[in-house]
Amino acid sequence: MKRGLIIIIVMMMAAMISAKGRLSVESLFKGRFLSDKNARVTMVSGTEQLRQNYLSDYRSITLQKPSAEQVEDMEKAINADAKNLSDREMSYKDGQLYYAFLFFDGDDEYDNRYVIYLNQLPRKGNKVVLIYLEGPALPQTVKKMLKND
Amino acid sequence: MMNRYTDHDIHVLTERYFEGLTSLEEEAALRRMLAETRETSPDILEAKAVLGFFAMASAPVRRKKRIMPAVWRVASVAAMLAIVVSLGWMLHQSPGYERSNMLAYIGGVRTTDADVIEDIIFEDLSYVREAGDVVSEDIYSDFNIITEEFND
Repeated sequence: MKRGLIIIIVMMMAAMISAKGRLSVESLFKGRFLSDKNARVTMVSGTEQLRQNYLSDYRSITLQKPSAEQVEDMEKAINADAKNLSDREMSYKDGQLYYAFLFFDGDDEYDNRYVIYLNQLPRKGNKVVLIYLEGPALPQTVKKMLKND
Repeated sequence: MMNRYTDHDIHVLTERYFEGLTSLEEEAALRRMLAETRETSPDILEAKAVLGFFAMASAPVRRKKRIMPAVWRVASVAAMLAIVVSLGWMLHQSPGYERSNMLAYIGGVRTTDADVIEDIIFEDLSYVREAGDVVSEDIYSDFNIITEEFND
């Protein structure tokens, strides 16, 4: 009985760790975009350049001339993550999500997460860019990094 | 079965026991006698207490065999498997799982070329920067419209 309880507790802990605030957009980096002809997926972690910007993880998906379905998939994931999030900037154009900057404050100062999204289609561009960042960087640091690029 | 000893034998043996003169066989015999006798003299009662205590202390402890119900056994195995699988999955999903810490898929083709990846990052960030500027301009423009309306 005692052993059973311990096992249940361990299982619950493992489930809590694995489910620790997984974002919907994270699943996009493991899905079909990896093999899409019009997609460019980047995954970088632990480089000096990232450390200089107080980041530990950088991931991005760039879609060239995306299909309506691909854009919808991206928007769905972002809207799901943005739900109930107070620290966010979202801009819509022609009924489409044009720009999003989502900040997920970590449980401790080292696991802040950011989702940055751009859909150029409403402005006659042909790219959709999704960036996921992780690390201790504060929102102003990330914005500064975007501006100083 | 008749006793082959008398009350006198018990007293003698008890006395020898307390003097530390008894052999193992005699101690065993004394235990049997004490168990059977109805004597209640102080030395006999004392011997019963002492020998009873040692008999208890030296007796092998028979642990109750733990029988785990089959359901619990299956659940335990399933739980352990679940833990192992989830830990493996978590490790596999972790960005650090890849040997290279720079990885990109371009049109479905995998590359770890640092220069190529740095160029992609540079390009992606420049797109986002442009969009950030556009949004800032939009906000500024919206504020201007509101301010103009407010001032009229």
